[in-house]
Amino acid sequence: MDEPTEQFDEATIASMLIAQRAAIMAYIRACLHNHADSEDVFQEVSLVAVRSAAKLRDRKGFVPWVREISRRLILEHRRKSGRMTPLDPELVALMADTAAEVEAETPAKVRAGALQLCLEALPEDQRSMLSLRYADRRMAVEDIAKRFGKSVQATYAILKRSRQLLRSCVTKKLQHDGLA
Amino acid sequence: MNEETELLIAYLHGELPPDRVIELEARLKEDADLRRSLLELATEESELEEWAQTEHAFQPAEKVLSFPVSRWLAIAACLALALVVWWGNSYRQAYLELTSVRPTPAPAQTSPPAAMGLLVDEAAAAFADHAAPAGVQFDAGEYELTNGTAHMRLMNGVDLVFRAPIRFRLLDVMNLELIDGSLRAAVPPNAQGFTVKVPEMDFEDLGTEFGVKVNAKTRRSELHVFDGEVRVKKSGEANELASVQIGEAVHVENGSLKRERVRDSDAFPRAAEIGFQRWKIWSQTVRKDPDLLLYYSFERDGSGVTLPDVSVGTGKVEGVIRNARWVTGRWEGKQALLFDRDGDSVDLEIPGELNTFTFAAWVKQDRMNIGLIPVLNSIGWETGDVHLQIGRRRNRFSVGVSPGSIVTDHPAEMKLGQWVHLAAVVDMEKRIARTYINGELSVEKMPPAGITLSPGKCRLGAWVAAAGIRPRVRGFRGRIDEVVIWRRTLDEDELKQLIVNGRPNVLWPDNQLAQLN
Repeated sequence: MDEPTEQFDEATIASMLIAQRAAIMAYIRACLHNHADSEDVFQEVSLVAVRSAAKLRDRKGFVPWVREISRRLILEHRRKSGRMTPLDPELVALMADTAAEVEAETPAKVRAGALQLCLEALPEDQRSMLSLRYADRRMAVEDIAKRFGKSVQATYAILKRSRQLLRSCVTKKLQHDGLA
Repeated sequence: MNEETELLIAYLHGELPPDRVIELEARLKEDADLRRSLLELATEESELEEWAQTEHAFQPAEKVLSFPVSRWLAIAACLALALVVWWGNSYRQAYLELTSVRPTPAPAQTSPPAAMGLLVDEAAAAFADHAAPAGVQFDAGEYELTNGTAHMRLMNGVDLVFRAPIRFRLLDVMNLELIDGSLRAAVPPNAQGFTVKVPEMDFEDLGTEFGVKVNAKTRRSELHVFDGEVRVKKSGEANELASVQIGEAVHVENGSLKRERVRDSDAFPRAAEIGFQRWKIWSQTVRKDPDLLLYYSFERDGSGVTLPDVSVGTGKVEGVIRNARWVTGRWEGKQALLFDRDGDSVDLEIPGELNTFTFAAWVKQDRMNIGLIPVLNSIGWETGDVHLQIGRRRNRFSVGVSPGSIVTDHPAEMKLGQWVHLAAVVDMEKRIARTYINGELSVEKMPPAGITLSPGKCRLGAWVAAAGIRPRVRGFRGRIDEVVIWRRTLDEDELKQLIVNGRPNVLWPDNQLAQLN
């Protein structure tokens, strides 16, 4: 067995986890079906990673190492969850490989940064509606419609259009800045 | 948005029926491009969810932490430091840096010029014209404090605290001549040998804390050792006359040295009491301000379960303490409330409607355990409700006015583990809502038009979902020492005065020397 080339303490692991949060969350989020479950698994992953700090061999291997911890915990979470169907372990492993490729091309934190800039460019009403729809407890479209004095159908259309605008804005921004 | 993207988003939100989930997951196994799209969308969705969480306070999460809080706490300490570094450095900023559209960096702070000693704190201090420090700098020379209390730190770390009237001569960093008055000295090991000269004697420290008193008229002096040991010598001579140990005292009169009972340590001023004194003077004045809506000075009353509104006038808004515990505040002898468990809060009701208000508080936050950390929130989130809270993601203090606002972030961010001054200034007519951390702009919002604020029933230090919604308790974790709300807006100069009069000491917040006033 190779000797570790670096020693990592808990605080260092914690700071690396937070710096790479977007990349780790992207993988977890892709395998789960809501934000709260993903947050929980991310916290479980953080706990295991911090406690296993001594097992990390070098800095370069950090994200793959955490992704492997995530893979195990995602499967466990999906298995235990009564709301979700169990996930095929092969698919979770394939997602990990694809996540590594995607991360190498356009890091998740870069995509997240582009999204934040695109959000700022969105009209106020659209942004407010999106924030209600995406908050912890997703507000029903009917309630958003009531709040903004619009029909349910119109609200659906605005939400869809806003998400579409964000998606194309992020893609264009990344391409324009040579980051994708 | 094409159909495939819509399908993947529905999958990420758990909105697909089980048969379609199975079908899509089978496709994902075979199609690498589809997996790529899913991962890209997962990044964006996750970011949107994080963003929305900080935008809105009223929605409880679908579930709380999936493991016991105690386990999370085990790593919280490690994460806390990193959170401070990272949450403030948003991906937005990282993106701008990556694309070289960097904001102009703040000008570098200039170091304070070297001096023999610095005035690090004071309360109502006034020096005689001919014997005053240059600003906050003490060089060799004579000084006379005619009013108040002051704390001087020499460059070798010796702390000298004295109250008026006192006259002394600073000879160098290792020697001070006390002409008249009394002082307390705390000497670190590296400054061992620091000497206070009194008529006919030298008191040479051996690493300790002691008090010295001199009466210029009678030439009588006293030495009281509170910790460690002090050597007494005849002026200018090497031989030791006596060694005075912890809990011992001597006095010198007409050239002779006599033992006496050590005085109460409180007879000599302490560094920590200076800020407290300054705050007390300010607090007594501000509570008479007719524009006050409420003022919690966090001075424990007899019951210990109510938080008294000390503002002078009618319409008191008394707080009811729910579980939060009384602990030490910014200074020894000053109380604060500790909010450390779910359910720790102070309940209050702010009656009526408001068009303008200013909120100010001193808080010491221990950790950021959730995305949105309530400081003072209306219980609900109906139109006109107000939520003052700290967002972990952007690491900023924010004022939320239902039903939402346009948000602009500014540089000031929260800091954990130290006293922080929070302020929020809201003017609904001008549609301005600004928050400040330690007097610096943190978040600026444009609230919606035509809304009048009606905070109503509120909680300090906690937020709980309204009835009918699955509860998710959100709690501030740390100490709150003071809360003041005015019915008017305070300008930035007035906010700075709140800080000058309430800061724990003059070295606050970064152990850097701050200019007085």
